[in-house]
Amino acid sequence: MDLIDNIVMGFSVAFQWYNLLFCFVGVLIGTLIGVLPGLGPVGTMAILLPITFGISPVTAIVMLAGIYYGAQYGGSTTSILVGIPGEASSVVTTLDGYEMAKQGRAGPALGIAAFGSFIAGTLGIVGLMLMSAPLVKFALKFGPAEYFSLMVMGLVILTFLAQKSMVKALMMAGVGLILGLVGLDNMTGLPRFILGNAELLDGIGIAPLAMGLFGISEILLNVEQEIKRSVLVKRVKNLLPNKEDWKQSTGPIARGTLIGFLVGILPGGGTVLSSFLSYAVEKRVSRHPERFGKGAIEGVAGPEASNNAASQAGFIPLLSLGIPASAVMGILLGALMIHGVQPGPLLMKNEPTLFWGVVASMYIGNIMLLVLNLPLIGIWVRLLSVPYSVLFPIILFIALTGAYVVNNSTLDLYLMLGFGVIGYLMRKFEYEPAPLILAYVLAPLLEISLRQSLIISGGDPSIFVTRPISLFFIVVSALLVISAVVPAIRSRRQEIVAQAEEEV
Amino acid sequence: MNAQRIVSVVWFAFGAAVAYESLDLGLGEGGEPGSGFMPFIAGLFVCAMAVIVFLQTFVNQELKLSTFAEHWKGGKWHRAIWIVLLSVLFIEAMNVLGYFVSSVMLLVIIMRYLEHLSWTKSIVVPVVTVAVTYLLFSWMLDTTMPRGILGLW
Repeated sequence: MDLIDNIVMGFSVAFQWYNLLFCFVGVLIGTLIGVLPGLGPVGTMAILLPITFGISPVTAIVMLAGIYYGAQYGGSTTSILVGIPGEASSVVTTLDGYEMAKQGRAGPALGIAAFGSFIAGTLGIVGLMLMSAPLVKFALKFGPAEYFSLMVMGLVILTFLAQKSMVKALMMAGVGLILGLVGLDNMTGLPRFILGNAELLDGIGIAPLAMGLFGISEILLNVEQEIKRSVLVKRVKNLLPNKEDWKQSTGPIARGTLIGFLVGILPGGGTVLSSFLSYAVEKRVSRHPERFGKGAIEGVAGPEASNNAASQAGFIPLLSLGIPASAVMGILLGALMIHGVQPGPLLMKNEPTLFWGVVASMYIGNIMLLVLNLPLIGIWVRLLSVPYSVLFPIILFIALTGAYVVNNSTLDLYLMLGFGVIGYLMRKFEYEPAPLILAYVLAPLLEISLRQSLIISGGDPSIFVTRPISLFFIVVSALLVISAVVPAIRSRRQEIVAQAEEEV
Repeated sequence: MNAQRIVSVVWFAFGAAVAYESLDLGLGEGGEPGSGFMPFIAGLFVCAMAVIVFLQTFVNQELKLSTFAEHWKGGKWHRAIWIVLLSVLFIEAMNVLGYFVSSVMLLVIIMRYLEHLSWTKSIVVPVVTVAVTYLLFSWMLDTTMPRGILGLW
């Protein structure tokens, strides 16, 4: 009965008026940036992180989480109506969604995307509630050695799933570790890599780093291109899918939810991969695979369900183990720590209002999103006609203001701009920023657990392979690295990536 | 010159510099790793990965053909440079002219001269944006922005 008590408590927290308000603000902003191409949830959450300093941790996480899963809803609108993805996770939705819009079926496409998202999102939350407690029990057995190996495995999986080069992704994880260690060493009190700048004693802030790598660099890349958008449909009608649509979509939504949930728990898996997988699966099981890419509703329902289930499942490792599975979760982890909340398996026990409050708010948020994305779809359609030339200066300016107000520091502004330029160059040369930010967030935890492990073992590194759970994590990591190097498997991995790209 | 190769050399230099600095910080004794231990490993790791990418540029077809010109082909890259320069100007101007004036100026310049929007749009949008943002941040965070010599916000 514990679970029911907790759920009731969670809802009583989530229904407090300011949590409702911030939940709404979160999903509203999420939908907004989801609809607008060129600004992702990571950048937005980083930009808005400073705003949350003045509010309680529960409210802050409720809002930031809302931005994340809200963006999964919004992204599909642009994919369907404009034919370019609003978010990376809705890339596949452009295939059949846009085709449906061209055939005058924009309404059902948007409708099934929203309903599929809602169903999958809600089921994802149920999974989150049921899975977290057992996982916490398991994690409480972890010592520093297990934690260290688990984090290493998380980073390796993330880099393994990198779209381009795994070597480059691993390198970026290394760079992230270094950046995360800048500042005073908590154990010895020695300043590290501060380059003579006293302001860096506290380390490089997550806000300027994430805003630079994800927000500013995105702007710099986008202004190089002529972004032309033409909205296919000015007024959307018949949003409710008919009986036939539902019949065709039920299977894809169910499978998509399952795929999304399983992929979402994996470190580095996330929403993008899950939507691709779901599309591939639907095409394979379909009796008429030739309909795909020509406006098959299954190609919208499956991936859209999948990315929402994945976005909810991604919270499981963060809230139960304290380990973020993606860059977005890294930002949330940063937010928790800024608010003085210690993430980890004790979070559920020590901060029950936070855990259950946030989970309950996701139910409410999903309902709000359904309303925002169906009856109010017209607003978003109109928003799509705002040109990028008006939008990006505003985004740039909000980023500059946000980076400044955290510490009233000009240095932070230069850091953000500097990381923006570095991020721009990184993307030009196909170095992915996600492993960097995740390693940056994990660096302090990783270092502490490494040191503690070595102190316990008296300097013997075999502690990581003599303890069974730790050994398991290390073996998985090693296998992944080896498999990426062995030519036969490497070519198979590239084949899969290529195939996914081809199908898109 | 191969662009990917040059980039890998830059990363190698970064990793090597970090590893070298870490030696100064102290690697510590076996049972008690020092401040330099973790960054030393991370620095060497970055170096090792950079070496692999460097070698790949001789084998991998795609990396082999990478040139700077190809990476910037067709893009209006000068616009990206303008954005960075204007942002630097904004940061420097903020302490002199104050937050309000420098923000509005930044937005007006970008919208009017980089994006060629109409004067009306280029003035109305910035003023409204700056006012709303200022109110939001000062209300939520109770923060004060630089007022500058004009004494405006």
